[in-house]
Amino acid sequence: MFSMSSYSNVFLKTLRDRRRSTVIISVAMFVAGLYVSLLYPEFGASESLQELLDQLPDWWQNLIGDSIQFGSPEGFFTTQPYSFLGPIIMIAFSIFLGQSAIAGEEEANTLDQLAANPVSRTRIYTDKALAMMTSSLMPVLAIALGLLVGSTSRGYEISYSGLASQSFSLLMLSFTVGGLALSVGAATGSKGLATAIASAVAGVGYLLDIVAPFVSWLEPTRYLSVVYYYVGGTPFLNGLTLWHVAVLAAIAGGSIVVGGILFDRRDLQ
Amino acid sequence: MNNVPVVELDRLTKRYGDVTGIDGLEFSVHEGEIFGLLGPNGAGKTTTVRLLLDFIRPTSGSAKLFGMDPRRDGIAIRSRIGYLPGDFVTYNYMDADDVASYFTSLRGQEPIRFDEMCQRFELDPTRKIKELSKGNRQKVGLMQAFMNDPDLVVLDEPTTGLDPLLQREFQDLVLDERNRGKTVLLSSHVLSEVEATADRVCIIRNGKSVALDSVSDLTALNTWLVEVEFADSASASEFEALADVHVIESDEHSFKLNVSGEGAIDHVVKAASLHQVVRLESHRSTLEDVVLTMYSEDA
Repeated sequence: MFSMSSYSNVFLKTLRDRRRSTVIISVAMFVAGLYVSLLYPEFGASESLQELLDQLPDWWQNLIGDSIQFGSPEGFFTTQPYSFLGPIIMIAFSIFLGQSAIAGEEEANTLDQLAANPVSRTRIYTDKALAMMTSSLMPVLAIALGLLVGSTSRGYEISYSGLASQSFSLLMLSFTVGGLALSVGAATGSKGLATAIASAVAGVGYLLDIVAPFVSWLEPTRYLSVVYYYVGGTPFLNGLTLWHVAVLAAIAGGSIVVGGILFDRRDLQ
Repeated sequence: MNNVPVVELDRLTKRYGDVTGIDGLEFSVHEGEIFGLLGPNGAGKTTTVRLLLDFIRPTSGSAKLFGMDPRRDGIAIRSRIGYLPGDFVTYNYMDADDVASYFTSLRGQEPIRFDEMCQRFELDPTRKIKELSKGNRQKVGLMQAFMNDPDLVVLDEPTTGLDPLLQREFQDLVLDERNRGKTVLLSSHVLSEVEATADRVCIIRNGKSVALDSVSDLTALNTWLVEVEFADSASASEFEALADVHVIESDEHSFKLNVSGEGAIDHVVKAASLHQVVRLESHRSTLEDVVLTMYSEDA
């Protein structure tokens, strides 16, 4: 995938190191998108399925996605792959990328070697962050490509702007969770802690997004969920909700900046 | 040659909570010098080296390299340093060519001595690191430390895993560096290696400097190691009472003594003559004898 020049800086080397997992996840996401979009005409547009889903408890409907909108491809795709499979895989992949970036090198005892070169820690960290973001972009594009190929081959149209909004929103969720893992790992040197904190934020976010709408006293806590800001505005149908994007961008950007500052100030292990 | 020391420590101290890494370390290393940092495991050698490279920051005191601050001027400093860490680990999936390519790109300097180093240490640069023995991995570490022809090479336990022939090759390399006007900071617990190469040494124990001198002064001509064995029993106090005599090891019948100063050896012979001597050997102290004496005095 890369030539020898891919060892020419930290960014390209990190991309190269992650190329295998990035390709595997991207292919899986493409297949998932393709599969769902090929099935839509029989499955998603089925009235009997819609009736069946309507009878499920609200929390269950919420778990599998906003099923009330099954009638359109955009509503169907909001449910699958964008409410469950897509974000779960992207959260897991982003956490893997984030925790391995700095803390991974530190635990493997290669960070000293890297930092012994005339490169600032800030540069190392920035390159690692950019590589994490670039690697996250691939599967997000792959799933969208899968949907486009499937819908085109089955002869129905989907909203390009909706797909772009949904993809962008998924990318922002990935940056947010991956950014947390990156920053905690960089600030502490611990892969375990980075994984635990980012997973907790994502897991609790999921739980709150599913449960909070149905428990009145929990309702306000939905706004504490990163998942709410990802899919709460139903971007495939309604386009981006700017303040939702802003919240995710603030968490991602803020955590990445703070992680970089703490990494620059601390002792390497 | 200019007058700015290549390395200069001023009361450099590093504490980890209640644990002291190094405590008030002071020394200078000058251009064209091979400087040995000697001490047992855990003495603070690696802590010192990591402070110089800005991997960790001092609790108090300061270090300067080429007259610059390791944190503020880290990039300028590290562009002039080759470094071999104590436990050299690199990317397992790479080969030595890849390692050289990566670090060369980051340094923005040509690996002008890459071929020479591979040849010198009989290193096959096309084999994956994960396929190499510990000794061969160490060769990769040495290669990358020297390949850009840095002004200062910082080596932490450099001969770990090397066979005796390659250890000798390493010593020749270090001596060649001095002849080329380069500076080497050699951290090691292998005394013979330091003795064979270093101009000056700083001996550290528990984070503190216990000696700082040239190797020739530390192993001064009038310092001797005397080993004496008796058929009858003797007491260490008989020798400890003598001026300029230090008992390094003793049991009822045999004694190992560090003897320094004019006339001290005569006192030892006369004290020994009170017993039935079965063996008496003496030789000029090596650096190892001096260091072991210091450690036993300090313990």
